[in-house]
Order: sequence, then structure tokens, then C-alpha cells
Amino acid sequence: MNNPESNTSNGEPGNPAEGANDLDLVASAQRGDTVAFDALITKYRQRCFVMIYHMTRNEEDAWDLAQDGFVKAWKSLANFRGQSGFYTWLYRIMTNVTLDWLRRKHIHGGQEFDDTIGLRRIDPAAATAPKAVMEPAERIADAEIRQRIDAAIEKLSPEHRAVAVLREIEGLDYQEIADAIGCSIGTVMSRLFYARKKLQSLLQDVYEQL
Amino acid sequence: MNNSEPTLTQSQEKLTAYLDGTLSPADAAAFEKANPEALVERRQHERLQTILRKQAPTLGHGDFFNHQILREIRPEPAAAPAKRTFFPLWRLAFAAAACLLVASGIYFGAVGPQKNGSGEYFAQVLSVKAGDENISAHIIDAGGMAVVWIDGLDSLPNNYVLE
Repeated sequence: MNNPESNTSNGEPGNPAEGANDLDLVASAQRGDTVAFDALITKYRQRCFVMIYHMTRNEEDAWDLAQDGFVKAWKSLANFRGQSGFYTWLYRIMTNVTLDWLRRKHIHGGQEFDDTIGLRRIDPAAATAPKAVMEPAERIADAEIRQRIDAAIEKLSPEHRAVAVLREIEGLDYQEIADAIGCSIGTVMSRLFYARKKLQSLLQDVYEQL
Repeated sequence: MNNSEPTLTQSQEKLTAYLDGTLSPADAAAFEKANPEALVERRQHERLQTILRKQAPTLGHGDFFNHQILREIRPEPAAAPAKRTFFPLWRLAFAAAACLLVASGIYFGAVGPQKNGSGEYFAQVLSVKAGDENISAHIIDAGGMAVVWIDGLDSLPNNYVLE
């Protein structure tokens, strides 16, 4: 698994907690120190948000679910024994919060994985679009790619989606994914195999253009 | 959660491990040799990873994000000790009693005497109407009833006497 402390791409510059030891912060938070927990949130919010975004394909949902995850983490801090890294433990909570939400949406909404659903319109000038200045054609192409990815990932079941995101985007290893989701390594590999096949078939024309 | 995923064949499992780089270099080389399409698969997988990782939004308004969480988890501040009010209850009761006393004083000291005065007032009205200063009237309190006592009136003329 990527070490969040060494991952500067997701880190936030100037974060005072950057050099702080997770376990020290966790220990303080376990004693009720919300300032220490605040530092942990600052340290991991971006990574959690991105991970959840990749599973939900919606920034607002990702925002809300990441907050839910942190609140749950706070309430469960007493159960954290330091046997795994804090981020691995936090990942597990975030993954479960998101999976529960996806399953509820899958059951009650029904549209989420409907193949006939239209592509969502995404404003290419949205705040989440790459900040680099792009030519209009490039911008449209980027937005189209994003729409295609959204649509492809939405066609995966919550379980396949979680495994694909944790492996392909977050770079977790099999054991970490198995721990986060609560299944065997064999199940992880199987889900990964079929999720990849589906994504490849849905996005083949996209990545062949790259 | 559905854990009953289809079991992978040995070649599918090896392909997955190969793409994830978990095979030893020797095993990977052997896999590539036995499966000429493995390199194509690998290239496709790398492209897929590239486009998936490219689309990572940034969490905006991070401070507000934290603020909302902290507002949720921070314990409710303990109920502040009751502020000493300017007029505590006993003072209010005392003030009410004092007001009552003053009002009673005013009533009995100022309004009460008007009862007796009302007799004089009645007599004055009666004198004006009667045109005789010998006529007077006063009120007698007789067991809860007010009796108007009038002096100085003449006897009724005989022709006014009711028959």
C-alpha cells in the first residue's frame, strides 16, 4: 500500500500534521483530543475523498461519505489497537461506509447500475477539472473520457467496484483489499479479474486513443 | 456481501497476478513466454490504470470539511452554570409583596376616604339641586349596605301625599 506520509501528490502542503506520527495523533485522539483528530482528517481527507469518489463517481456523495467515514472513525477510535496502520484501518471504515451506501442505493435506487442510464453531464469547467489550461477540444475530450469512465464504473457491482478502485487507483495489495472488504484473497483476485475484463471492454476505445 | 465469486482458472489467476506484478521475475518471464498475448494485456492494463488514475478530483474547501466533522464529534459543551440573574426569584417575590403593600396603602389612604367623601359630594349635589344649604346627606355603612341619610328636607305637602 502506498504510504500516505510519503505520498506528496495527495498530501497537503503546509499541513502541520505532515510530519507528525500517526500513532501519536491517534493516541491523543483516543483521549478525546479533537485537535489531534483534526490533524488526522487534514492528513487523509484528500486520499479518502478520492477513493470514495472513484467508487461513487460523484463529488458531493464522496464529500458526504468521507465525512461520515471520519465521524465513524472517531466513534470507533477506541477499537483501534495499532495492529495495522491507521490509514489501513481508516480505509476499511471508508470502504465499508461507501459499500453500504452503494448497496443501499443499488437496492433502493435501482438506476445506479442500469445499462440504459444516460451519461451524466459534467461541466468541463467544474472545479474538479484539471487545473492546467487546456484547449477547448482537449477539455471536451477530457470531459468525455471522464463521462465514459463514470459510466463504465457505474456498471460494476459495488463489490467489483470497490476492488477495482482499491487496486487500480489506490494501489492496495491483495491482502489489504481483503482486509478492507472482509473477504479472501481468492475473492479479491476473482473480482479484480472480472472487473478488469468489464472495464477493458467498456473503455477499450478510450484507452486505445491515448 | 456476496463472497461466492466464480473461481478463477489457473491461467486467469496467473494473468491477474502477472498484471499486478506479484509474480517473481522468473515466473513472469515464463508466463510471457507461454502466453504471447500477455504483453498486450499488460499494455492495455497500464492504459486502463492511467485513465482511471487521471481522473482524480481535489477535495475543495478542506477547512469547512474538517469543521463539519468536528462540529459533529465535539461533545456538547457542558451546561453553563446558571447566570446570576439581576432579580432572583426571592427578590421578585419580595418586590411583588412590596408593590402590593404600596398599592394597598394608596387604596386605603387615598381611594378609601372617598367613600366618606362621596357622602359630602352627594350632599353638595343634593344642595345644588334642592337650592337649600340646610339640606345635607351622608352615607351610613349598615352591615355591608350603604344607606343614604338625608337631613333638612321638608315634609311632603299634603297634596303630594299618596292616597
